[in-house]
Amino acid sequence: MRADRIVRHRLPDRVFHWVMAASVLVLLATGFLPILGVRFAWVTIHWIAGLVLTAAVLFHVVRALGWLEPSAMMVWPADLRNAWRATLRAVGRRTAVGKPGKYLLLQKLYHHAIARGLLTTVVTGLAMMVKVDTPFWTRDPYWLSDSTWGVIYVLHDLAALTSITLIMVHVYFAFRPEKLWLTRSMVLGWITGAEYAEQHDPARWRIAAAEEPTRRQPAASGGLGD
Amino acid sequence: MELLRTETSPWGQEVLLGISWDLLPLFVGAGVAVIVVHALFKAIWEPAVRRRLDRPQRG
Repeated sequence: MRADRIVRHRLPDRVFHWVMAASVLVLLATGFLPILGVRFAWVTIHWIAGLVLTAAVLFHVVRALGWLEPSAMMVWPADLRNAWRATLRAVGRRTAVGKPGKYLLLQKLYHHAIARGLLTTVVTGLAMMVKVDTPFWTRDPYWLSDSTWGVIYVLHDLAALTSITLIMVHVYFAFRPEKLWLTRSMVLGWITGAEYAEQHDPARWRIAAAEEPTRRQPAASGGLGD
Repeated sequence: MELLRTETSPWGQEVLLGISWDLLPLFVGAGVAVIVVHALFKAIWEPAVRRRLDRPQRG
Protein backbone atom coordinates (compact mmCIF):
# COMPACT_ATOMS: atom_id res chain seq x y z
CA MET A 1 0.00 0.00 0.00
CA ARG A 2 1.42 3.35 -1.02
CA ALA A 3 2.24 5.71 1.82
CA ASP A 4 -0.45 8.25 0.86
CA ARG A 5 -3.21 5.61 0.80
CA ILE A 6 -5.37 4.44 3.63
CA VAL A 7 -7.21 1.12 3.64
CA ARG A 8 -10.95 1.69 3.79
CA HIS A 9 -12.28 -1.71 2.76
CA ARG A 10 -10.20 -4.88 2.87
CA LEU A 11 -10.39 -7.50 0.12
CA PRO A 12 -12.81 -9.94 1.88
CA ASP A 13 -15.23 -7.06 2.48
CA ARG A 14 -15.03 -5.84 -1.10
CA VAL A 15 -15.56 -9.37 -2.43
CA PHE A 16 -18.54 -9.71 -0.09
CA HIS A 17 -20.02 -6.43 -1.35
CA TRP A 18 -19.77 -7.33 -5.02
CA VAL A 19 -20.97 -10.93 -4.54
CA MET A 20 -23.94 -9.55 -2.60
CA ALA A 21 -24.59 -6.93 -5.28
CA ALA A 22 -24.47 -9.48 -8.10
CA SER A 23 -26.74 -11.94 -6.28
CA VAL A 24 -29.27 -9.21 -5.40
CA LEU A 25 -29.40 -8.01 -9.03
CA VAL A 26 -29.95 -11.60 -10.23
CA LEU A 27 -32.67 -12.02 -7.59
CA LEU A 28 -34.42 -8.81 -8.62
CA ALA A 29 -34.19 -9.70 -12.33
CA THR A 30 -35.46 -13.26 -11.87
CA GLY A 31 -38.11 -12.05 -9.42
CA PHE A 32 -39.54 -9.15 -11.38
CA LEU A 33 -38.89 -9.75 -15.09
CA PRO A 34 -41.49 -12.57 -15.22
CA ILE A 35 -43.98 -10.23 -13.56
CA LEU A 36 -43.25 -7.66 -16.27
CA GLY A 37 -43.94 -10.26 -18.95
CA VAL A 38 -40.48 -11.63 -19.71
CA ARG A 39 -41.07 -15.37 -19.63
CA PHE A 40 -38.24 -17.72 -18.72
CA ALA A 41 -37.44 -20.51 -16.25
CA TRP A 42 -36.63 -18.22 -13.32
CA VAL A 43 -37.30 -20.30 -10.21
CA THR A 44 -34.08 -22.33 -10.07
CA ILE A 45 -31.82 -19.34 -10.83
CA HIS A 46 -33.74 -17.36 -8.21
CA TRP A 47 -33.29 -19.76 -5.32
CA ILE A 48 -29.66 -20.50 -6.19
CA ALA A 49 -28.93 -16.75 -6.19
CA GLY A 50 -30.85 -16.59 -2.91
CA LEU A 51 -28.56 -19.18 -1.35
CA VAL A 52 -25.52 -17.23 -2.60
CA LEU A 53 -26.94 -14.10 -0.95
CA THR A 54 -27.63 -16.04 2.25
CA ALA A 55 -24.04 -17.29 2.38
CA ALA A 56 -22.70 -13.79 1.68
CA VAL A 57 -24.86 -12.24 4.41
CA LEU A 58 -23.80 -14.90 6.93
CA PHE A 59 -20.16 -14.27 6.04
CA HIS A 60 -20.61 -10.53 6.53
CA VAL A 61 -22.40 -10.87 9.87
CA VAL A 62 -19.66 -13.14 11.26
CA ARG A 63 -16.87 -10.95 9.86
CA ALA A 64 -18.49 -7.71 11.03
CA LEU A 65 -18.90 -9.03 14.57
CA GLY A 66 -15.49 -10.70 14.74
CA TRP A 67 -13.10 -8.68 12.60
CA LEU A 68 -14.62 -5.29 11.82
CA GLU A 69 -15.87 -2.51 14.08
CA PRO A 70 -19.63 -2.82 14.57
CA SER A 71 -19.54 0.51 16.42
CA ALA A 72 -18.64 2.20 13.13
CA MET A 73 -22.17 1.42 11.91
CA MET A 74 -23.98 2.55 15.06
CA VAL A 75 -25.79 5.88 15.15
CA TRP A 76 -24.21 8.11 17.80
CA PRO A 77 -25.37 11.47 19.20
CA ALA A 78 -22.56 13.15 17.27
CA ASP A 79 -24.06 11.79 14.03
CA LEU A 80 -27.44 13.29 14.84
CA ARG A 81 -25.81 16.58 15.88
CA ASN A 82 -23.82 16.78 12.61
CA ALA A 83 -26.89 15.89 10.57
CA TRP A 84 -28.92 18.64 12.24
CA ARG A 85 -26.15 21.19 11.68
CA ALA A 86 -25.77 20.08 8.05
CA THR A 87 -29.51 20.59 7.59
CA LEU A 88 -29.27 24.08 9.08
CA ARG A 89 -26.34 24.86 6.78
CA ALA A 90 -28.27 23.53 3.79
CA VAL A 91 -31.00 26.12 4.44
CA GLY A 92 -28.47 28.93 4.74
CA ARG A 93 -27.63 29.13 8.45
CA ARG A 94 -23.97 29.79 9.24
CA THR A 95 -23.20 26.66 11.23
CA ALA A 96 -20.03 24.63 11.66
CA VAL A 97 -20.65 21.01 10.71
CA GLY A 98 -18.47 18.34 12.31
CA LYS A 99 -16.90 15.56 10.27
CA PRO A 100 -18.14 11.99 10.57
CA GLY A 101 -16.28 8.88 11.61
CA LYS A 102 -15.90 6.22 8.93
CA TYR A 103 -19.54 6.50 7.80
CA LEU A 104 -21.98 9.38 7.43
CA LEU A 105 -25.33 9.16 9.22
CA LEU A 106 -27.10 8.59 5.91
CA GLN A 107 -24.73 5.72 5.07
CA LYS A 108 -25.47 4.11 8.44
CA LEU A 109 -29.23 4.56 8.04
CA TYR A 110 -29.03 3.13 4.53
CA HIS A 111 -27.09 0.13 5.80
CA HIS A 112 -29.69 -0.52 8.52
CA ALA A 113 -32.57 -0.22 6.04
CA ILE A 114 -31.07 -2.46 3.35
CA ALA A 115 -29.89 -4.97 5.99
CA ARG A 116 -33.41 -5.32 7.37
CA GLY A 117 -34.84 -5.63 3.86
CA LEU A 118 -32.36 -8.25 2.70
CA LEU A 119 -32.57 -10.22 5.96
CA THR A 120 -36.36 -10.30 5.54
CA THR A 121 -36.02 -11.61 1.98
CA VAL A 122 -33.43 -14.17 3.10
CA VAL A 123 -35.48 -15.53 6.02
CA THR A 124 -38.76 -15.65 4.07
CA GLY A 125 -36.95 -16.97 1.01
CA LEU A 126 -35.37 -19.79 3.01
CA ALA A 127 -38.84 -20.70 4.30
CA MET A 128 -40.07 -20.83 0.70
CA MET A 129 -37.26 -23.25 -0.18
CA VAL A 130 -39.43 -25.94 1.47
CA LYS A 131 -41.84 -25.52 -1.46
CA VAL A 132 -39.13 -26.16 -4.07
CA ASP A 133 -37.78 -29.53 -5.22
CA THR A 134 -34.01 -29.59 -4.74
CA PRO A 135 -31.36 -32.34 -4.90
CA PHE A 136 -31.58 -32.43 -1.08
CA TRP A 137 -35.35 -32.62 -0.41
CA THR A 138 -38.77 -33.01 -2.00
CA ARG A 139 -41.08 -30.02 -1.79
CA ASP A 140 -43.71 -29.88 0.94
CA PRO A 141 -46.19 -27.05 0.30
CA TYR A 142 -48.23 -28.08 3.37
CA TRP A 143 -45.42 -27.39 5.85
CA LEU A 144 -47.23 -24.17 6.81
CA SER A 145 -50.88 -23.15 6.54
CA ASP A 146 -52.12 -21.08 3.60
CA SER A 147 -52.55 -18.02 5.80
CA THR A 148 -48.97 -18.30 7.11
CA TRP A 149 -47.61 -18.71 3.59
CA GLY A 150 -49.56 -15.59 2.66
CA VAL A 151 -47.84 -13.56 5.36
CA ILE A 152 -44.45 -14.91 4.26
CA TYR A 153 -45.16 -13.94 0.65
CA VAL A 154 -46.26 -10.43 1.64
CA LEU A 155 -43.11 -9.88 3.72
CA HIS A 156 -40.90 -11.23 0.92
CA ASP A 157 -42.61 -9.08 -1.71
CA LEU A 158 -42.53 -5.93 0.43
CA ALA A 159 -38.85 -6.37 1.26
CA ALA A 160 -38.05 -6.98 -2.41
CA LEU A 161 -39.94 -3.86 -3.53
CA THR A 162 -38.24 -1.76 -0.85
CA SER A 163 -34.87 -3.11 -2.03
CA ILE A 164 -35.57 -1.76 -5.52
CA THR A 165 -35.96 1.77 -4.18
CA LEU A 166 -32.92 1.51 -1.94
CA ILE A 167 -30.70 0.05 -4.65
CA MET A 168 -31.71 2.73 -7.16
CA VAL A 169 -30.72 5.40 -4.64
CA HIS A 170 -27.49 3.56 -3.75
CA VAL A 171 -26.34 3.27 -7.38
CA TYR A 172 -27.18 6.95 -7.97
CA PHE A 173 -25.02 8.04 -5.05
CA ALA A 174 -22.23 5.68 -6.13
CA PHE A 175 -21.95 7.62 -9.38
CA ARG A 176 -22.28 11.13 -7.88
CA PRO A 177 -19.05 13.03 -8.74
CA GLU A 178 -18.46 14.00 -5.10
CA LYS A 179 -18.84 10.35 -4.01
CA LEU A 180 -16.68 8.63 -6.63
CA TRP A 181 -13.80 8.39 -4.15
CA LEU A 182 -16.02 6.14 -2.02
CA THR A 183 -16.98 4.00 -5.02
CA ARG A 184 -13.30 3.68 -5.90
CA SER A 185 -12.60 2.48 -2.36
CA MET A 186 -15.13 -0.32 -2.76
CA VAL A 187 -13.25 -1.48 -5.89
CA LEU A 188 -9.62 -0.80 -5.00
CA GLY A 189 -9.88 -0.72 -1.20
CA TRP A 190 -8.22 2.61 -0.42
CA ILE A 191 -8.74 6.31 -0.03
CA THR A 192 -6.03 8.95 -0.12
CA GLY A 193 -4.66 10.68 2.95
CA ALA A 194 -6.12 13.95 1.69
CA GLU A 195 -9.59 12.39 1.37
CA TYR A 196 -9.27 10.96 4.89
CA ALA A 197 -8.28 14.34 6.32
CA GLU A 198 -10.95 16.23 4.39
CA GLN A 199 -13.88 13.90 4.93
CA HIS A 200 -13.37 12.25 8.32
CA ASP A 201 -12.79 13.14 11.94
CA PRO A 202 -9.58 11.26 12.90
CA ALA A 203 -10.81 11.00 16.48
CA ARG A 204 -13.92 9.12 15.30
CA TRP A 205 -12.27 6.93 12.66
CA ARG A 206 -8.88 5.98 13.96
CA ILE A 207 -6.55 4.33 11.53
CA ALA A 208 -3.60 2.15 12.45
CA ALA A 209 -0.38 4.09 12.98
CA ALA A 210 1.21 2.15 10.11
CA GLU A 211 -1.50 3.42 7.78
CA GLU A 212 -1.24 7.10 8.73
CA PRO A 213 -0.55 9.08 5.56
CA THR A 214 3.00 10.27 5.16
CA ARG A 215 4.69 12.31 2.49
CA ARG A 216 4.13 10.75 -0.92
CA GLN A 217 6.79 8.10 -1.64
CA PRO A 218 7.72 6.66 -5.04
CA ALA A 219 5.17 3.91 -5.73
CA ALA A 220 6.46 0.48 -4.73
CA SER A 221 3.40 -1.38 -5.98
CA GLY A 222 -0.10 -0.65 -7.16
CA GLY A 223 -3.06 -2.95 -7.61
CA LEU A 224 -5.97 -3.94 -5.50
CA GLY A 225 -4.58 -3.55 -2.02
CA ASP A 226 -4.52 -6.53 0.35
CA MET B 1 -55.29 0.22 -6.64
CA GLU B 2 -55.11 -3.10 -4.80
CA LEU B 3 -52.52 -3.48 -2.05
CA LEU B 4 -52.61 -7.27 -1.81
CA ARG B 5 -53.13 -10.21 -4.14
CA THR B 6 -55.65 -12.79 -2.97
CA GLU B 7 -57.49 -15.76 -4.40
CA THR B 8 -60.25 -18.10 -3.23
CA SER B 9 -59.14 -21.58 -2.22
CA PRO B 10 -61.07 -24.73 -3.27
CA TRP B 11 -62.62 -24.62 0.21
CA GLY B 12 -64.00 -21.10 -0.36
CA GLN B 13 -61.47 -19.33 1.89
CA GLU B 14 -59.76 -16.12 0.83
CA VAL B 15 -56.04 -16.83 0.66
CA LEU B 16 -53.29 -14.21 0.66
CA LEU B 17 -50.87 -14.54 -2.26
CA GLY B 18 -48.65 -11.50 -1.77
CA ILE B 19 -48.29 -7.81 -2.43
CA SER B 20 -50.10 -6.39 -5.45
CA TRP B 21 -47.69 -5.76 -8.32
CA ASP B 22 -49.60 -2.53 -8.99
CA LEU B 23 -47.30 -1.17 -6.26
CA LEU B 24 -44.14 -1.79 -8.31
CA PRO B 25 -44.32 1.59 -10.13
CA LEU B 26 -44.77 3.25 -6.72
CA PHE B 27 -41.47 1.91 -5.38
CA VAL B 28 -39.62 2.66 -8.62
CA GLY B 29 -41.19 6.13 -8.60
CA ALA B 30 -40.04 6.69 -5.02
CA GLY B 31 -36.47 5.91 -6.09
CA VAL B 32 -36.73 8.26 -9.07
CA ALA B 33 -38.18 10.99 -6.83
CA VAL B 34 -35.31 10.78 -4.34
CA ILE B 35 -32.78 10.89 -7.18
CA VAL B 36 -34.39 13.85 -8.95
CA VAL B 37 -34.87 15.87 -5.75
CA HIS B 38 -31.28 15.27 -4.66
CA ALA B 39 -29.86 16.05 -8.10
CA LEU B 40 -31.80 19.33 -8.20
CA PHE B 41 -30.69 20.16 -4.67
CA LYS B 42 -27.03 19.63 -5.58
CA ALA B 43 -27.27 21.44 -8.92
CA ILE B 44 -29.34 24.46 -7.93
CA TRP B 45 -30.04 24.89 -4.23
CA GLU B 46 -26.66 24.03 -2.69
CA PRO B 47 -24.56 26.33 -4.96
CA ALA B 48 -26.94 29.21 -4.21
CA VAL B 49 -26.67 28.62 -0.46
CA ARG B 50 -22.90 28.30 -0.70
CA ARG B 51 -22.68 31.65 -2.57
CA ARG B 52 -24.79 33.28 0.14
CA LEU B 53 -22.68 31.80 2.94
CA ASP B 54 -19.43 32.78 1.22
CA ARG B 55 -20.51 36.43 1.07
CA PRO B 56 -18.79 38.41 3.82
CA GLN B 57 -21.13 39.05 6.74
CA ARG B 58 -22.30 42.61 7.26
CA GLY B 59 -21.48 44.37 10.52
